[in-house]
Amino acid sequence: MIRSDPETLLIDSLDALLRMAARLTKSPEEAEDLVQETCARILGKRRSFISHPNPKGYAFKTLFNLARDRGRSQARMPKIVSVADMDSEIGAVQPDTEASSRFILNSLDDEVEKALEDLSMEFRGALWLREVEGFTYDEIAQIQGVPVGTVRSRLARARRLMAERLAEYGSARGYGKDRPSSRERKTS
Amino acid sequence: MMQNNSCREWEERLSAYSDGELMDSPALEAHVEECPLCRRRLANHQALGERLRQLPPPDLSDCQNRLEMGILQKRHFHQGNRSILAAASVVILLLVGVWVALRPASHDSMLRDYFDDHIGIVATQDHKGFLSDDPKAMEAWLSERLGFIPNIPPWPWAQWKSARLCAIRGERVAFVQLAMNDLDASLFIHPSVRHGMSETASPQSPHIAVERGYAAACWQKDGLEYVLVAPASATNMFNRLD
Ligand SMILES: [Zn+2]
Repeated sequence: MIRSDPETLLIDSLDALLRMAARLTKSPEEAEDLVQETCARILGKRRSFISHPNPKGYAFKTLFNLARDRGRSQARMPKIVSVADMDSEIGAVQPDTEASSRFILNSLDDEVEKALEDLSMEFRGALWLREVEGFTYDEIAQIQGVPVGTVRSRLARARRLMAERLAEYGSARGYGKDRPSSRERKTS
Repeated sequence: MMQNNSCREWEERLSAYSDGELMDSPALEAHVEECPLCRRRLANHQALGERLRQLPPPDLSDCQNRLEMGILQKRHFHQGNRSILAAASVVILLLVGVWVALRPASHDSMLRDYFDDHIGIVATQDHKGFLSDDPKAMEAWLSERLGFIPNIPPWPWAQWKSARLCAIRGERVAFVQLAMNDLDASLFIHPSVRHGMSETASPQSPHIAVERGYAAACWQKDGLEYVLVAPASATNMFNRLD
């Protein structure tokens, strides 16, 4: 099999790495900085990179290791959004995992991003790698350096937390529980 | 085998099933068949995946271009592709505005070490060693550790950043980081008797080499050899030496 040089391989994964980095950091500058460090690290080990059976996975693994190291030194505070803080008539609505997929499909981009941000880096990373980048459980396990079973439970919990959060946001914004008639009840 | 009120015990399997990663799917399928809650969750998983993939990508095209440039600059000459090389040399000639003697890296492999060190530091922004903006203080710090006094040129335009030691071909060399017009540059200084450039060059007419988007100016003065490495686009870099 003919394989291109490390620079080309790396450039091919650059947009995916940047997308991931943007989800793991707080600003575009930080994301760029993280990917730059990732590239420097990878090109410092060109041979390992080029001979790796899964160079893209190798690149993501490097990115995750660096992000984790940075997270340790910066101790990112998990953001907790309280339902009570939200200006809403939420009252009787009991958002739960029963959240209808309509809540999710009708969620706003901001809401999805916010819910994603509220997940821990490990959960967020696993979910993103699976749903957006299409990595398999085995690959995610290697990238995150954990057993496959951990990936499995991370994904299940990440999904539940996301669904709960989006249901909260949706009902706070005035979407009905599950009734199509209340779907259009937007306030503005 | 009916569902309990939350069906938590099926949660992980359900999630793995929606990813196509479940081995014993018939059992789960049988359960989902009769459990509305799990059916709903399955739909949620699909909806969530859809929403995540639909998120507008953050505008990172500038970042991407900068990173690509950085990666391409690291491509080694001997592996490099000729057309990139040719394009780069045209750009460099235009920008530097002087005739550059472009020599293949293999003819001057020692210079490659300087380029590597410079690029390595700039890429990682790993400023270690002695942090100072005072060249005299750097000189003192370096001479204590090197056994020679690296006379740092009194360039008024330079913003001095840090001094450290490095090894080139097994010899210890003073390695000074500075900025010129916000461009990172590295200045290497060592006694000239050891390496001896192929040609003697003065600060007025330095020996110039270009590699991977970086330019190096090399000259000798008072028994020391100097190598200044900076991005090749640093206009007038070479007019500033005195
Ligand atoms: Zn069930």
